Amino acid sequence: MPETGALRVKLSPQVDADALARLHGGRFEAPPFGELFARAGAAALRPVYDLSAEEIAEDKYGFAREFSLTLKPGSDLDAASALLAASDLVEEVRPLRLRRGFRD
Amino acid sequence: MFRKSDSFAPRRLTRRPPAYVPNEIIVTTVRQARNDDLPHYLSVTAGAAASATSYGDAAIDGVLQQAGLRARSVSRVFVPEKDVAAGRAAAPADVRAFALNREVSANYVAQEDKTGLARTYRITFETDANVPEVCAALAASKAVEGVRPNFFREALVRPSDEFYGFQWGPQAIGCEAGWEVETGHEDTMIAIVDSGIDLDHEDLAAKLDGGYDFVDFQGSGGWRYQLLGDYRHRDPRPDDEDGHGSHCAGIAASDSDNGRGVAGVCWKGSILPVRVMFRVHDRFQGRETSVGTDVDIDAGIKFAVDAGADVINLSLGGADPSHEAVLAYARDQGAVVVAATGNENSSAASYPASDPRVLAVGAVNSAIQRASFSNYGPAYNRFVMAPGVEIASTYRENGYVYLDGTSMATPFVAGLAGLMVSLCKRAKRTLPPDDIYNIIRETATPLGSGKGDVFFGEGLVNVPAALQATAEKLSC
Repeated sequence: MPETGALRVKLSPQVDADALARLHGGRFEAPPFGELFARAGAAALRPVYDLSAEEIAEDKYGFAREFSLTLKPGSDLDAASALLAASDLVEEVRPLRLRRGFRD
Repeated sequence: MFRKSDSFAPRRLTRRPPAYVPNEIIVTTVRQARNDDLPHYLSVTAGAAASATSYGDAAIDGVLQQAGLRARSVSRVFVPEKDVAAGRAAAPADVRAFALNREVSANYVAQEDKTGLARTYRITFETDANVPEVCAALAASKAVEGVRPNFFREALVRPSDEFYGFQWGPQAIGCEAGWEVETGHEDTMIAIVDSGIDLDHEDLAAKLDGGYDFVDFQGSGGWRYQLLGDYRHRDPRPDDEDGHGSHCAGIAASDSDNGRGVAGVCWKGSILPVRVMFRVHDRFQGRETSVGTDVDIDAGIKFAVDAGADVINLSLGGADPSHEAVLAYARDQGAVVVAATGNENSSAASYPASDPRVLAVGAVNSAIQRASFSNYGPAYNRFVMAPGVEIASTYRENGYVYLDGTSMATPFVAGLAGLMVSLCKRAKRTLPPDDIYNIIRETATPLGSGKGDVFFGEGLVNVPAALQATAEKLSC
């Protein structure tokens, strides 16, 4: 499947609930993430799941730490991926891929 | 005593079907008149034995002759116990097929003679017969212990849907026998996580619960995909621009036995439309299809679980592992998840079908052969098979079409799981998803080399057997 120009980012369990709440509120320029995402070439960061404050605080399954990161046009996907993976703030980075319906 | 045969008079058409098979009777003789030389019905129909045209006892043949009737065939009805036992030993998967391939003996045991099974015969006539009058005449014969028309029995449930005659899939997996047991509980919810559903479809609309559109694609389709339609911004209207999701929904749970459209496997309960895929033009394949991202699919699965879906249908996938956390969540919350193996005719893994937390489904055609495209092999964790070729179902814009794919096989199993969950709800019990998966696997009819076959997995799902096993488990 072709690349989509976006990444799926799972933040580290060390990231506290307040920081996650800020990100879920759309404030991804705030420290400590602002500089990291800017260097990666982020155009937009979006939570994968719409969660309540309680779900963000409890987060048994790690849903609150999952985001999709869209890069600015012309950004180097591999370089962005490597940069994010090297950060202590990030647990896992995957290219965001497309799935297909299985109609023959 | 008899009217002459009226074979030359026009047969009147009636809207009411006959209560018995025309020109056919079932006779049980007295012990002294038993005739083991007559062939068995199965042997005659299989061509393994010549048809008999008389009974061989004047007390019976004379009555028929007096009525001006000629027998086309006189044959034994019941297979001896000993033949059934031999068949089970030789071909446990299909005793009937075994019987059809050989001449059925008349080697009855004493009990079979005592109960009359060894002395029961089917007589079919060359010419139109007045069946009640023939029965009355034969009943007076000293050679006859009992005689009756061969009555039709409503043993199987056939839905009234207009296009049911175009659907081979439900019959192939035994739905008609299964619907005698369960047609779906009102509180059962099946989520179709797909391209959405035609929200105004005549055969779906009444069953739809409030769903959601999770598609919000802000990336690029690259060289391969030209993005079409609504692919930005999540919203509460999961309408189907493609048709794929509508087709899956109809197979699993369309509004059924309502005189229109198609019949779904799970008639009652609701469908939750969850849109996670959007329409694209695939430049590589030169056609339109649906695609969706991992993140939107995961969000859609979680929504389905949180909305209370009992069963989640995933007729989608890709090569890279994904969805682990949300599938763990679904299992912990008790949701059954079924997923298509994929259409590459490959043994390579595909996700989510290869995830151990789901039940993977491959496709067979109407000859119960593996569909040429259906993925297979140990990467799919004891997968099962279901109909997936020439499948008639609902489509976008209030339409009905045939489609092929493991996408089409999967909702048959989602519907079956819905029926099983319905039994649980009636019993006010729950079964964990793994129990549902195991029942479906263990009751599936083995194909190929048997259970665990590399191409057929655990075999073709068997609706009545799965429902019976569910009921037995619930009664423990």
